[in-house]
Amino acid sequence: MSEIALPNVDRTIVSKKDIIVNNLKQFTDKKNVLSELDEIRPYETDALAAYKNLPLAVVLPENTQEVSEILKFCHRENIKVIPRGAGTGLSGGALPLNDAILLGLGKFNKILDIDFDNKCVVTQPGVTNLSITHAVKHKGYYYAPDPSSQLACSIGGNVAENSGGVHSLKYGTTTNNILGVEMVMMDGTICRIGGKTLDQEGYDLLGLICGSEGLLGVITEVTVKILKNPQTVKAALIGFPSIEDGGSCVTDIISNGITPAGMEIMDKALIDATEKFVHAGYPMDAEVLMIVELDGTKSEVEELFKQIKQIAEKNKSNSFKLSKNEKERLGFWSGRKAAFPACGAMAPDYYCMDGTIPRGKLSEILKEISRLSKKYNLGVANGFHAGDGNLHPLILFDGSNKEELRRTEEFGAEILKACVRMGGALSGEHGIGIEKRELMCEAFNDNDIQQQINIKMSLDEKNLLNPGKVYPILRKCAEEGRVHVHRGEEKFPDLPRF
Amino acid sequence: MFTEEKKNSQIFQDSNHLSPTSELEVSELIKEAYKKKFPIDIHGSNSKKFIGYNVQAAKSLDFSNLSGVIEYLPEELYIKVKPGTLIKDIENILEKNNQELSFEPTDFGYLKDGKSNKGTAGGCVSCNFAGSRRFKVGSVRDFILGFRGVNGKGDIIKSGGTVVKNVTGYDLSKLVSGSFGTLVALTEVTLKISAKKPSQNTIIIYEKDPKIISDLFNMVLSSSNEISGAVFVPDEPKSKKFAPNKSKAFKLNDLDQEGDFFAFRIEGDQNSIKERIKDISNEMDLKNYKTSNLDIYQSDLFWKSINSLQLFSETKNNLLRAVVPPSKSEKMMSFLKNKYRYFIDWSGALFWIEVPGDQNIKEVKNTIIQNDGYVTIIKKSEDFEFTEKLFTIDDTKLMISKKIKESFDPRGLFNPGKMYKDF
Amino acid sequence: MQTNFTETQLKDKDNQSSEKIFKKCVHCGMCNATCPTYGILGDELDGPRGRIYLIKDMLENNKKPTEKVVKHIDRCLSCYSCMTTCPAGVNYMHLIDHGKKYIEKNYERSTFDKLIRYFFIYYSSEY
Ligand SMILES: Cc1cc2nc3c(=O)[nH]c(=O)nc-3n(C[C@H](O)[C@H](O)[C@H](O)COP(=O)(O)OP(=O)(O)OC[C@H]3O[C@@H](n4cnc5c(N)ncnc54)[C@H](O)[C@@H]3O)c2cc1C
Ligand SMILES: Cc1cc2nc3c(=O)[nH]c(=O)nc-3n(C[C@H](O)[C@H](O)[C@H](O)COP(=O)(O)OP(=O)(O)OC[C@H]3O[C@@H](n4cnc5c(N)ncnc54)[C@H](O)[C@@H]3O)c2cc1C
Ligand code: SF4
Ligand code: SF4
Repeated sequence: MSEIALPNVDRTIVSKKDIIVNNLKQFTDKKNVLSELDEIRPYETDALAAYKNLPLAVVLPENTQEVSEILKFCHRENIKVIPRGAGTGLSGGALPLNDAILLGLGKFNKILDIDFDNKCVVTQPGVTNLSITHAVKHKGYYYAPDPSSQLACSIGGNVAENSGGVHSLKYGTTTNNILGVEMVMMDGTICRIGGKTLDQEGYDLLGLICGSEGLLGVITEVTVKILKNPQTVKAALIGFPSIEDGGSCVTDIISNGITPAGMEIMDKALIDATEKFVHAGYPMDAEVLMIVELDGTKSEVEELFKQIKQIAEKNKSNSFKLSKNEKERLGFWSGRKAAFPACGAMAPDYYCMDGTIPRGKLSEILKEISRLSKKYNLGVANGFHAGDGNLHPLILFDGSNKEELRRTEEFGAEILKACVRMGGALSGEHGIGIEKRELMCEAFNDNDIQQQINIKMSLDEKNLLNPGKVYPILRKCAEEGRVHVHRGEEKFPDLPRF
Repeated sequence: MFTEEKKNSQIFQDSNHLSPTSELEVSELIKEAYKKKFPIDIHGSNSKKFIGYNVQAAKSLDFSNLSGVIEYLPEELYIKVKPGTLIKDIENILEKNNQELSFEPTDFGYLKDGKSNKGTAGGCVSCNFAGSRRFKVGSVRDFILGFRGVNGKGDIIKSGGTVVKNVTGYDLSKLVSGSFGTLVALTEVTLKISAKKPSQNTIIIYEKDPKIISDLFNMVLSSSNEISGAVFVPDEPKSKKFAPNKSKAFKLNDLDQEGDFFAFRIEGDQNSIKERIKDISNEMDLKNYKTSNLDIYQSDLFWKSINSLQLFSETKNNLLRAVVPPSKSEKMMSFLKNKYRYFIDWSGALFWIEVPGDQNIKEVKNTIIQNDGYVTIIKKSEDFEFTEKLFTIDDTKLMISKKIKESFDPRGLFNPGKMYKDF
Repeated sequence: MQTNFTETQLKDKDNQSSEKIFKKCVHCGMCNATCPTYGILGDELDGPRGRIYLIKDMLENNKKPTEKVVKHIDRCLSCYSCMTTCPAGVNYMHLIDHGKKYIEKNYERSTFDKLIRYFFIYYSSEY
């Protein structure tokens, strides 16, 4: 099991487990409180399975009132609470603590109101991202943010992580696509923020909650905006002979005033891997492959693709293929979407990073990554949401080799540091969680972090809601840099492995 | 450093009007204020000073001397500026690269003295009032990538950065937008910019039936034609209480001055505009209405007039800004009739309502709230008695806001009483 | 996922193949999305990812199945919707069969339970 510093365990809470469990049973159906070891073990980790930790108990409330009662009780008794959606998070945000209740929102799985007049859907937080689109697509609408995990991840988790996807380039991430939430504060107060109106008066609490990784309140209802499907959608596959050419093409497209719906880049390693895996028909002579998708009116899409083709040629593209129909368009994406499992076929393990950089630094970071790849003697495959500079390098390694594990972690941390150095950020969409907590000092100084902690403490003065996440707990930022090296001996005994 | 600190402390003592020229200076002045518990009135060019309650503060911190572009990278689609930079100047710089602030910052200048004044970047962010593209592209807050600023203790803090996707800690950029300078004294903001569309057209539909107008708004929202603005401007009430403005505000060759009209804007290249208009003509059955088409030049002027509230130019009455769910627009229109001067923006979601006399405010406010909306009293008439709150907020949110305020500004020094009486 | 079988345990053929499958699972949770029992009950123990965890725990530790674990495994409809969703190609069918076999061997069902099971088998073979 991996070593990671967690907040001190409150032994008195642990010793009162039976009493606490019995109390919890007053607030919700008895069968919704899980406390036996067998039952709580499957909840010990999320999709970042490198970290595991057992909760004191798991509670699966069924409505907002129950959540409120449970939180009120925990607040009074000083019991920590960890919210959990679908458990697909990749930064360990829902990692339990031994003296904490894991509050699962799996039973909040109903869509409450589909309001076509106001172009919004009111839903419980446990509903999956994709089922919102399914619920409105018969009238030609959809919910825009599309994380690759959209089939399984919950909308509550999306709000907590401010998730994005391929189409965030044009349509924004979760924060740009929700209108309101209902939230329960740690002391049990139920609060409604926003609703069916645009913006809200006073402080933008919605903006604060979005991306707060479950530290400020438990989301019990979400109102999302829905959009009408675009008239025409087309995608093109463009191959380039070098990283530089692909990178500068991305910048040129954007600076020519074109905003594609999505713009992805894959490097040679990923092209090879995915082509073997799904046979998407990718050009094998390309060092870098770009998938550009445009939507709009027919003539607009055609006109812009003409321009993109010219821009690509100027950047020495060696192939250009425009989707002829919907089937072919989906085919283009199939390879990109299978990136994870495809990498699983190349190495026993892979570790997915998530940093952002300014678009213009694309080739620079790619070169840096390949330099680091040689330095650490580890393979890496790169998939990028290139349009918004969000990179997902997949470091390939063998988890049974401890030495390789250590190198993998250092490699990953160096990539993220390079992102920050180039003016980017530590995380574009997966969040900080526990995984990148100690790296926060790369991007922020003590003042910045203290201000964030002050906000947290003003809304949760006992620090009971999801403690130990997002903010560094090991050291002060003054000592940044070396922190992760000291973190422990066995870092990633088992990393995600598709 | 030490002498610098002493100098600033002296400046703080000597003057009530402080006009710092660097972030460090801002930080030191605020540190002094924190020590001495002096409340501060924070402002840029004062273009929106009349919004909110008057601030009673010992010192005033003027940001107009902390101005200028720090970094502008057209290809990275962002511009980083100091807070005192004029929006007008930013727009001029962007224009040269065919770029723009696509959230169309509301121009409150005409309200005050009949002239354009979009104020400063800091003020624009702090008020979060976005123009006609709101329902399509987002609000001011959606365009703030990051900021630097000084909190109420004098600490320099930052959040966000220059990239669009960023989940590292709380998104304070959002929190700061719309906070009316009560949380942070901004010293640097990074704005996301967009490419300007090559052309635009505006179609005017002469119609006044609330049901039809509300249906048209709904069609705009359900259309896949990327309509980037939709307004309804009714005729002015024939009452002496309203100095006529409409014909002046919308003086355009192809716009018929008489009667109520609905208007929507389409942007893009010429071909796609044509294609879209054709498509929308079918969707909306335009042949059944009297319509006219504003070319790119008139269209541009038209939306400038909308986004600078020229309909209410130099009004002496109260001006209310109400946001409602778009499906409630019909009910709102039926209530407002020709009793009040108003227009509707954001495709049915935003109402600007001019209310003469204090006694009518209550009735208007109640209707807005009954229709699930919220309302801000933007401009107060001279005899405004402050019986009505300027900002509406419920108790729970007020409690949360108060806590957040304390986390930034524990001694309540920044713009005390600007938004709510309590803090 | 990391596994913890001892060498003796791995001498067993079933354990051997199950271990390989456990290792393939990356705990991403995609499978829960299409699992009918998870959809209704909203408890991860009633979804494939949770069941895999329960089975793994039971097998690795030679645990005697508890009533609760049996309940969650029993609830699996063996519809294998989860397998079509899994991006990593985890052979869930093998795991659930192994788990069920293990339970039959190591768990004494109550008389009532047995009666019901007998009745169902009888009933379904009639029609
Ligand atoms: C294969 C795969 C692909 C992915 N691709 C993407 C991608 O393309 N883009 C992307 O952005 N992410 C991606 N992710 C990451 C993940 O799916 C998202 O972060 C998602 O939003 C997490 O949702 P969840 O419901 O699983 O949340 P969980 O993992 O359960 O929780 C995540 C965090 O949110 C908090 N939380 C959850 N629900 C609530 C609530 N109701 N109230 C308060 N806090 C809550 C938790 O405490 C935790 O901190 C991917 C993950 C996987 C496994
Ligand atoms: C998760 C889940 C939830 C369920 N919920 C419900 C529920 O709410 N209500 C309910 O009533 N049932 C429910 N069922 C049971 C099941 O869905 C029904 O029995 C359904 O009618 C089976 O349809 P099928 O097409 O899958 O038939 P199959 O399972 O393929 O066949 C059922 C029987 O019908 C025969 N048959 C099928 N097609 C034909 C045909 N064309 N001509 C002649 N015979 C034929 C088959 O030979 C077989 O004997 C549920 C099952 C699952 C797995
Ligand atoms: S989808 Fe496959 S890999 Fe993911 S948790 Fe389920 S079984 Fe494991
Ligand atoms: S086989 Fe079992 S676990 Fe898999 S989807 Fe069906 S019910 Fe769920």
